Amino acid sequence: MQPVFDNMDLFCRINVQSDLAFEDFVASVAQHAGGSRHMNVVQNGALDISIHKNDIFDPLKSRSGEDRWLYFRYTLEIDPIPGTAPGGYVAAIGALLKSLWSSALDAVVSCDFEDRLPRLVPLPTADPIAFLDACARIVYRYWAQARFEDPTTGKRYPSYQEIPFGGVKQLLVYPNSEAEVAPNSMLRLIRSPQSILAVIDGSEVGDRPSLLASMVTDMSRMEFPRYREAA
Amino acid sequence: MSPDAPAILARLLRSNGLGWLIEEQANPGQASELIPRLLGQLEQVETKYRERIGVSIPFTPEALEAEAAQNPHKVRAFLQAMREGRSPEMLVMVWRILQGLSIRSIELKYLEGHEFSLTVVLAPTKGDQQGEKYRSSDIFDARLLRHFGCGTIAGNPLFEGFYPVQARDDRR
Repeated sequence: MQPVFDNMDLFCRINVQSDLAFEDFVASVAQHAGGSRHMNVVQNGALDISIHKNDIFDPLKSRSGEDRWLYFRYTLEIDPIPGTAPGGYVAAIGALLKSLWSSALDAVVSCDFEDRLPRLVPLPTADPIAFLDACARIVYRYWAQARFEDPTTGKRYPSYQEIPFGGVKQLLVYPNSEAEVAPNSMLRLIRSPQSILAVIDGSEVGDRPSLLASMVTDMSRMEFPRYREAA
Repeated sequence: MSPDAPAILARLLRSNGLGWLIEEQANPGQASELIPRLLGQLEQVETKYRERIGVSIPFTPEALEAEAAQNPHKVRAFLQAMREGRSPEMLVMVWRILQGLSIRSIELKYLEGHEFSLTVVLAPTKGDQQGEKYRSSDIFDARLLRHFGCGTIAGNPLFEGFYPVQARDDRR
């Protein structure tokens, strides 16, 4: 199904929390977008990104609360490069978001087409390695032929038993070996110090979005052995 | 077991928050009895694994240390299980879950002062191979159950995986 973008405002804002100094942050955005920078503007084939310090940045408020993203340190104002097809533009924003998340950067998007973009679901945990393991096990309940890949090294793991959970920071999960070759649906699990970040693609292929969402919900409901007091 | 095995096991215990067990077990001026006992337990698990699964895999401290480099949470969970569970059969059950098998069923029977029995059936998540049944009549093996991950799958009950219990001061 071809998404409809008629009369849709394509302007997009991404707020990002980062400890980098402004110049370094702009350079890092250029890297994530795969584009070139001029002053505070980064452009790639599809995106025209103006990067600014957030006037209302608040280090305390940016840490908690549902609206904490409003107080992130930087803001990216994004418009399409003239001539870019809306579909390609939205896909490029999705790719930029995934790249930012992959570096464990807090990035929250605000635009009229959020439902067409990947979604990030944080799953807080005290033991991210064990939780990543649990997530992989839940995946098998939905995709019995699931395949795993470490995007950092490109190494593929055909089964759960082969995954070195202590050594991987991210896992791409494909439903089966065919999807591994030609991915049209996947789940990305990112291990951060205090959570697993599940990235759900905004793909509109069949029932996959709801299936992925239900998979991630089951992951979020997993309970682990309670803490005991240290001896 | 290699001559280094006791030292490696002691290192593993310490690096997994169980070092206090060594100190607790040691009498003043005497070596801890814990390490030789655990080494014996590992040998029993290796033998039982071979009997049950038909494949030989090492349960030496060296093998556990190598596994810990890849999957520290699994080795930590297994070491905790060695302390809590006592029958080699149930420790094989623990290792099979860590290898990826699913927990198909659990039967627990208890009659105060008379009877305890625990039966766990494991099977691969994929396919419909016959399950592996593990039984114990040692009530202390019930402590293993608290390591099971607990949740739901599409609204239905699920025990999934075997995980370490972390002390509050172990949190990273």
